[in-house]
Amino acid sequence: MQESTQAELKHLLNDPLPKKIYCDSNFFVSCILRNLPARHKACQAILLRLIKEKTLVFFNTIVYYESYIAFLKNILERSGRSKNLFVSKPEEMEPYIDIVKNDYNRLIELINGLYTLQIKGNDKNLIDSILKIHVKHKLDVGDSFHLGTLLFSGEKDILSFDIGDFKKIPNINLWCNIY
Amino acid sequence: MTFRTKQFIKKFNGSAVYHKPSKRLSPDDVSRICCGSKLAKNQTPEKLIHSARIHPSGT
Repeated sequence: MQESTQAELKHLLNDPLPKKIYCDSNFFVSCILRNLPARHKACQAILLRLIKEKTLVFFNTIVYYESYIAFLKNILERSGRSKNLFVSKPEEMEPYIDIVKNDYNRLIELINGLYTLQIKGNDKNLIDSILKIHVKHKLDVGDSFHLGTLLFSGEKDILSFDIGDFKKIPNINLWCNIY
Repeated sequence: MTFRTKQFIKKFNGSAVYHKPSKRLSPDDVSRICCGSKLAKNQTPEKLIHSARIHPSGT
């Protein structure tokens, strides 16, 4: 049998869901933010499926950090400010605190409504998996954490809208809303 | 928790936290969390999934 050279694409709304699926931060962020309306709508639909089918959603806790950054950047962008203001002038973030807090609290409520397995970084073997992915596939740090955690788990199914980077990874099933 | 889930959690040597929701989120809850409002009157989960399918290229 010929070995696959890239990810198999699965459609989140059409294909039968697996019992457990790894979720990338961009899924959670797109559930909360509406800057990409079609993706946001698809995320709502996917959430309804995950809840109905009691799918186990597992993820690396880096999701919380990445989501926080995405919420900060989103409100800054919407306000016409520099996306990196939270790094260069964090003291000017004061007017946006409540909005970011609201986004984050909704994220927590959403995650608490799912069957989840949240993977912390305190397993010595996990970093091996992350490093291998980082070096071999030249992914960015965040993506390496996600993919490294997925492969460490021995599973293949990942929900992510980061199709460009993940589709070149063999032996995984990439669940998204496009083919 | 199913036997398979327990086996899966074991793989992580105590570095993973399992969470079971205390209540099942309704479609209205999902809409409130995602959009800040309940589902529109004529909207149903089936319609939502269907319409999300029709416009799948929102990347």
